[in-house]
Amino acid sequence: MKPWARRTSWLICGLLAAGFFPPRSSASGDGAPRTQASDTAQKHLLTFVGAPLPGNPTAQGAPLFYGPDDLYQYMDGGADVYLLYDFQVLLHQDFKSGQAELTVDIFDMGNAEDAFGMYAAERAPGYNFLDIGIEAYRNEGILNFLQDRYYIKLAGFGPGSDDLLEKIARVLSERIAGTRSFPPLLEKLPQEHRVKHSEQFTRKDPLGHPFLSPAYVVSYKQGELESKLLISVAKDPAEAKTRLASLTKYFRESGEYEEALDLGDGAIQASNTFEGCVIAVAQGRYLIVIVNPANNAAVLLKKTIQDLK
Amino acid sequence: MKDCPRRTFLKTMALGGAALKLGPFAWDALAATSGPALSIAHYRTSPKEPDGISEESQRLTREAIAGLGGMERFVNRGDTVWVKPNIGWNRRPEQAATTNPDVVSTVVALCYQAGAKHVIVSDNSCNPAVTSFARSGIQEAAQKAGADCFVMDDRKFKSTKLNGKVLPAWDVYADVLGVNKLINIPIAKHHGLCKATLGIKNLMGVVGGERNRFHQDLGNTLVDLAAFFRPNLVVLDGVRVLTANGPTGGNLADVQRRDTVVAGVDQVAVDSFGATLLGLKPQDIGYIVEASNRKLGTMDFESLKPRRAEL
Repeated sequence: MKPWARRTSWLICGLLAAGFFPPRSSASGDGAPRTQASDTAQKHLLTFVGAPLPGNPTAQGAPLFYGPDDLYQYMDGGADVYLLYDFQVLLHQDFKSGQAELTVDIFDMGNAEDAFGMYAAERAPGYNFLDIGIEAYRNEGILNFLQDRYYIKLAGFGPGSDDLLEKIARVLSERIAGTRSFPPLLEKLPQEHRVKHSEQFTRKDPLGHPFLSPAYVVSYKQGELESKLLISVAKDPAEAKTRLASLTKYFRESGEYEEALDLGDGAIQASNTFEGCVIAVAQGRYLIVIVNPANNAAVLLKKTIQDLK
Repeated sequence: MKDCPRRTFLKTMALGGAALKLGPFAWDALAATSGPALSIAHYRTSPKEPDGISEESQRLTREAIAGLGGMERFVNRGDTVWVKPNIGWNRRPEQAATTNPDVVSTVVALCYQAGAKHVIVSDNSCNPAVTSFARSGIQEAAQKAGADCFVMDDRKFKSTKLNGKVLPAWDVYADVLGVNKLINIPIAKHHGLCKATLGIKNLMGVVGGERNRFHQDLGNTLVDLAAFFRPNLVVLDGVRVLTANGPTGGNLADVQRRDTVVAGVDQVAVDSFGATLLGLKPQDIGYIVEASNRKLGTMDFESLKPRRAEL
């Protein structure tokens, strides 16, 4: 294709994406932005897909926007988890390039921590990861990645779609820019024996306890034994101690517990038939809990205390 | 024997009364209870090639329904049948978010062989319907088998009295109420909110309105639907099972083969067995427990002495 023709086709694609198909505000179809905030967010999302994408895909309709009130119309019960992570706006748009049909879903989660939480809730350590954005994985017909406050999910069908997905993901990543690192707390946690891609951020009821919310959870594996390191994030040291007291009370009532002062000031070792064995200690505004600790869990705990200071 | 006509009459009246009280398909559901209640067909091998999986799905479906006595037990000559698969998502069959199209087309074919006049296949999709119908392969497969398969028309949802525990009335797709047989064909898959999507959950696809309101009390609302609709037959697709990140899925890494199709007249029993395909117990799933508590069926599916076939 001659350069002018390529430029023209890009222009047409851009017009199709941004102009001829003006954005619609979700399946409810009233076209009116629900709030100023969502209007701003929608406009920002449009900048990611408004310019031509690799493969010159043609938009198959206007971009659709879904907010917290109507996300369920797009994904039924799947919406609830997104709402838990304070989902803000979804841009959904279908494209076609040759025989390849592509779907772009960009979820604006409002902040990087919630975007990570939502992304991590849907990925598993065994996936096929690649280096796009903060983290990405792919399989036949899908490519999902995390960047800044966005969780981007691409789907492709038909010949050539898998190649296009990766190219499009890389371009979207460039356009999104912003934060390309995991939440800072995760970077501080011990690396030795850490299970790659196991990190989670839980907004609601970590280990089934509302008083532990929110919390980061990371898996560690030594031999066959897998432990979970949970960091419950309180607003200040006093609240962290209150959380430890609540956890202690829970185990006192549901199982066994004893002080473990060798592990730190106020540390406990406890067990019951539900959670199994745990050790826990408050450090600053964090409550550190290791579930199913290995024999040398004290090393992990002390290293974590040190790293979080 | 003199008593027989009177006894038959009383039995008929009782069934009729129960049917009127229970819902649109209850008459046939009650009449169809004379015979095996649950049939489980499992494939010993797990073919990898598309043709092999297609053949497997068709054979499993035929065998599971044969185990109940055949489609003739449920579909009579001249019936209009609504077949309700899961076409909720813009996903390919391999991604296991939608019902296997070969299971659907086999059910359609069996309905016609049993004498059905008209078979309709549809669902109220979550993702854009036109692409979901095409991508799932269900539209093409159903049409090839002779069914009408069309995207639902928003104007046809009508407020309908359900007399449920939490749903006194809701918007139901009017055409569903106009047929005389309902066959529910869910796929067994993970669901982030209620742990599993099975048959009872699949009934959400024949209602409209703001379905997210169901999620505030999913257990009761789903069972209200199950109590109202009472499908004549449930055929659960467990050939490929989405074990994580449901209901949307998409990642083949989350899909596992179970190579199973289950057919049953007890929707609670079918779902209870379906839960085990996901490594769950029936007691883990709120709507199954609620349905059992309301006596819509049994969680103890083994008590029905299911007919098992290994192919």
